[in-house]
Amino acid sequence: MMGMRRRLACCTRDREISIDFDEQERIMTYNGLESCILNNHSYENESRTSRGDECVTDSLDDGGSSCSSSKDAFGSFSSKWLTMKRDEQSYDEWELSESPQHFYVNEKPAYAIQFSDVEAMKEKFAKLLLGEDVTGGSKGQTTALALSNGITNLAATVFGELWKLEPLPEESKSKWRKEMDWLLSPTNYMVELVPAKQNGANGRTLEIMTPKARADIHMNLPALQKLDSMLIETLDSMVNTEFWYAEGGSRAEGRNNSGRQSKRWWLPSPQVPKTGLSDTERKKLLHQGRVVHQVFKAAKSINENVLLEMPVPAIIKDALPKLGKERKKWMKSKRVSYGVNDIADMCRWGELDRDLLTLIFLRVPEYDISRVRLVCKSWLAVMEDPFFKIMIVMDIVEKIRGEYEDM
Amino acid sequence: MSSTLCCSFAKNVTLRSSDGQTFEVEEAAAQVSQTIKRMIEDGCTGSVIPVPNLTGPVLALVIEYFKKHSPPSDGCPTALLEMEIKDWDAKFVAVDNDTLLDLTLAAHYLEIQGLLDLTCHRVADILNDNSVEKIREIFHIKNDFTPEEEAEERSKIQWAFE
Repeated sequence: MMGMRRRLACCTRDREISIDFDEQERIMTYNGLESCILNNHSYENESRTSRGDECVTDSLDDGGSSCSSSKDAFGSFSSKWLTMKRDEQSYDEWELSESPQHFYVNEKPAYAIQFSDVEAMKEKFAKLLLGEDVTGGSKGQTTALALSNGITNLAATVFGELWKLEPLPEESKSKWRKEMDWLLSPTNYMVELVPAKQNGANGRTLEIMTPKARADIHMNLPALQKLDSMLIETLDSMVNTEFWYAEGGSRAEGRNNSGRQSKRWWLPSPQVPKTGLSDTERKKLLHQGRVVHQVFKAAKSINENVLLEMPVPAIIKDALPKLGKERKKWMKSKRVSYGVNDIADMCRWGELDRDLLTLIFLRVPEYDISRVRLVCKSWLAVMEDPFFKIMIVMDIVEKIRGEYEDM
Repeated sequence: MSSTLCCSFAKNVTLRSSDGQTFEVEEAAAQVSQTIKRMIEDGCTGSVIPVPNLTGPVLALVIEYFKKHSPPSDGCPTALLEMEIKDWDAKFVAVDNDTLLDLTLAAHYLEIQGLLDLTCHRVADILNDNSVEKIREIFHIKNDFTPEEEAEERSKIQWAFE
């Protein structure tokens, strides 16, 4: 898997790479998934036949041998792509693996591949490809959505119950890295074909199409991987901290003491020494806080850019005017009930038209908007509108629509 | 369509503010406002167009904006001109907060998309750059939260105050 990421990086770095594709390889996008499944399949057959009268659990328990054999399976998987190109003149260029562009370069694969991993991977990809439709009928999800859901689910399993600032358990960390590698592997095959010139055998110049990593993937994926590793590093640095968590602290407290319970009783409550944190610890935590904030901002801006680059489906474009009308109706019906009680006390800015406030708040970055909630009640009411959230999305969509119409 | 044709003779329209001041402005310029454009198309050009929500000084400012943003009579605006207008816009909304509010309301009422964008952006910038207390001070907003309510809201979003 690491090897493939390197290849992706090289592919993007060196635009002069020219590789001619056979007809059947012209559609690159999900080749990865396919060959992955194919290889698993053949591996499965192999192991079935070789297993003979041994039972499955034996090969599972036998860590050493099963490990190496499944590595072979992976070897053949990742090398399959290479073998396809082995005869091509530019093969050597794919081997430029020591490029500074991949961020995991210093990390060895953080996990060993187990037999059970292959099983897990098969199951995962089978589910992904079939979506919710186990009959394999036509109701399966689109692949992009399936991958997106797969990543969301994985994130929920690994980070969903993470309430404390402490290093991730090794098991979770390796699960995260391993399965993200699986889920991201199709991106290595998402390429654009760009025209290039190639010198033919008898001195003629040929026009051929060469693959290039799709621009958005090339731009964003390494950055996201860097952000991911920054977050995990931050968690990893939370050892020997001066703060700790009350064991069962506010959970128990929250249930027993229903009178004064905090709304987030499920969160463990952090404790600090009576004397407070030392200066160094405080500085360290503030620094980490800033790092995480940067990560958040960067991730958010990548997300926004990707959203803006996405074509708007016709169905949304058609629905927009209707949504707008619905919203206006809704706003009007709500205006009365949200009405400011004591208008005389409020100044003009406080009682500003809800539509106008919405327009203004939409222009404040999300990170700061939560602060602005506290200014006064009527402002808070605007931001509490469920429609405010919809408006944020609509705002993005309309921006995109605007760009469409400009074209 | 016919009204637009007949209006090509009367190039100017007269706008009247809430306090009775009148301003003459080129019709093409005034049509930067969608509201005024509709009024002109509905045939209100014969008489004075009333703008009851705006006082004289504000209407004067808005008309300045109209003039700067009226479609150029000869062809497309050049890139240089666009840059100049951008500069001019930035200076135009660098005003005190009462004027800024007046302009925002005027842009909303008169449906001047460009000016509305401009003023909303400016307000958003102010919200961005200042603490909650400072925002209340700048916009003269009374804090109508009880201390308990404020503390509760604050605890929900503690992270934003770091």
